[in-house]
Amino acid sequence: MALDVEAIRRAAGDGALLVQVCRDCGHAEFPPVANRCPRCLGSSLERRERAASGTIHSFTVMHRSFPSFEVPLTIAFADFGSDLRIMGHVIGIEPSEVRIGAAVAIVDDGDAPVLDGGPRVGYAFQIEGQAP
Amino acid sequence: MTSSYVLGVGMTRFTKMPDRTIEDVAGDAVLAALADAGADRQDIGAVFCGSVFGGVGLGQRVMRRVGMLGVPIINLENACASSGVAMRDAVAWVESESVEVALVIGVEMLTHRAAGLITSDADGIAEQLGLTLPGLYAARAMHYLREHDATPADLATVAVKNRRNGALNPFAHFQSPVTLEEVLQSPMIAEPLTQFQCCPNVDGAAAVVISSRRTIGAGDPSRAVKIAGWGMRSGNELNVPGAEPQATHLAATEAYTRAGVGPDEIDLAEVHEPFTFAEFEHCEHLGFCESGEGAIYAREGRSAIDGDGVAINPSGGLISRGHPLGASGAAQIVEVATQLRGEAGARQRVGARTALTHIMGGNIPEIDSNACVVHVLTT
Repeated sequence: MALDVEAIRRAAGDGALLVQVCRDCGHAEFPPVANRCPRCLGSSLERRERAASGTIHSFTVMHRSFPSFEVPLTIAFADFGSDLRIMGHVIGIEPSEVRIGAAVAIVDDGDAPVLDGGPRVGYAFQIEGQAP
Repeated sequence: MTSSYVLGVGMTRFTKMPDRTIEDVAGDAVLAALADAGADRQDIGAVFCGSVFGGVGLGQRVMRRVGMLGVPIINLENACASSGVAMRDAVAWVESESVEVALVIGVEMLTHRAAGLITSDADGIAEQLGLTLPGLYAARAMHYLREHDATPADLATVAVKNRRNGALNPFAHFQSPVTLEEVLQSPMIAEPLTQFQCCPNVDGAAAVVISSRRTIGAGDPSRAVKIAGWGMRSGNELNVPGAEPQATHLAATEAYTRAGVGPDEIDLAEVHEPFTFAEFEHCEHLGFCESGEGAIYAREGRSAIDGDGVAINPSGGLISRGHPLGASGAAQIVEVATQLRGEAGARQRVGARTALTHIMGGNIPEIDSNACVVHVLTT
């Protein structure tokens, strides 16, 4: 299943992650693209908006990237709950200010550092509070 | 099951060769390996060809140029581990007595590609975000620097060591050493990794002749190198909080067990380090140092050719030799066979008796790797 960017963006506009949840075993996946639960192999999957606040596990500030992106480009891996580690653009902050452990909210990708016509994923990370 | 031996190795210099064809470059490595083994073309019973971007029927195209069609030819793509997997599969054919002599080829022509940046899954989230492979390793390095006794200068020492080693290897792309300051002051690619900490995109080929016999044709049996053990894994899911990469540790444990040796017996190792950070992590997972001490191992010079630990990447590794993806696994075998024969000249690890190769492919954000292969070789 292809990435449903519009649906991810609508959820992100509400501050939520659009996750795919297995009705049989509860396994959650992001992005929602599978047709079968990889854990229990169940085929009864549903999309849910999950209220989301994450913590930055790691990040980098990239000074070279593919042609469709502005640099420096900050990309973080953030943990949401106990089951999802998700990568995304970090927006609304100077790259030098980003810290591991910072809390992030899900927002839509309107301010993502993507040039016109570049790829879109529908969501981005916004720093809520820095780690001590 | 029978044993298997490396009888011959050959490679081209790894460098930029935009005007040469992939078939001819691979053919050079094949003929060098056959000559080194003292073998004739008709001695080869099966061919295993690893490449990422070589295209359909690559092994057959290469064999056609050197007049070796007719035998089974198997093409393998497993990202940067492609020819490491080709080696492992060739060993399996030989040790199961499906064939007596097998040929392993690894080849890649990266200058033939229009774009320099390599993607593992063009439709994946990482590519949609603009996350490059240096960026992926950089993020892991940032986490490591925060969690452990490690600094950006420690990362740079890996590049200094590997460029120093590569300057002693005529097959390496980079033929000059660099200073710590030059590494740290080279352009920033993805924080904390600077340009000199990233492997260059180059072209090249490597080939290996293996057999269940210690010699064929005119070969000298004293130059045979024993393939003592191998291990292979695909990576685990990493997109879950708390997940840690496991493939290297598991593949190495399997290889050590088969070989009946432990990490403390390894004299030198060719380790997958497309970016400096990878050496920290892999030295820990291969058991050469304690968990969290990979940076200290590099900082104290223990992984130098004349260090008191395992000599890591005496060839110069991917950072200095260059990384023609599908060719690197076979090139590692070329290096350790050369070292174990005592024929490595200025970069010889004195007294080398036991060596390890470790290659990984397809290290993507969601999983540890598509493939991780470890071989243990002995004199």
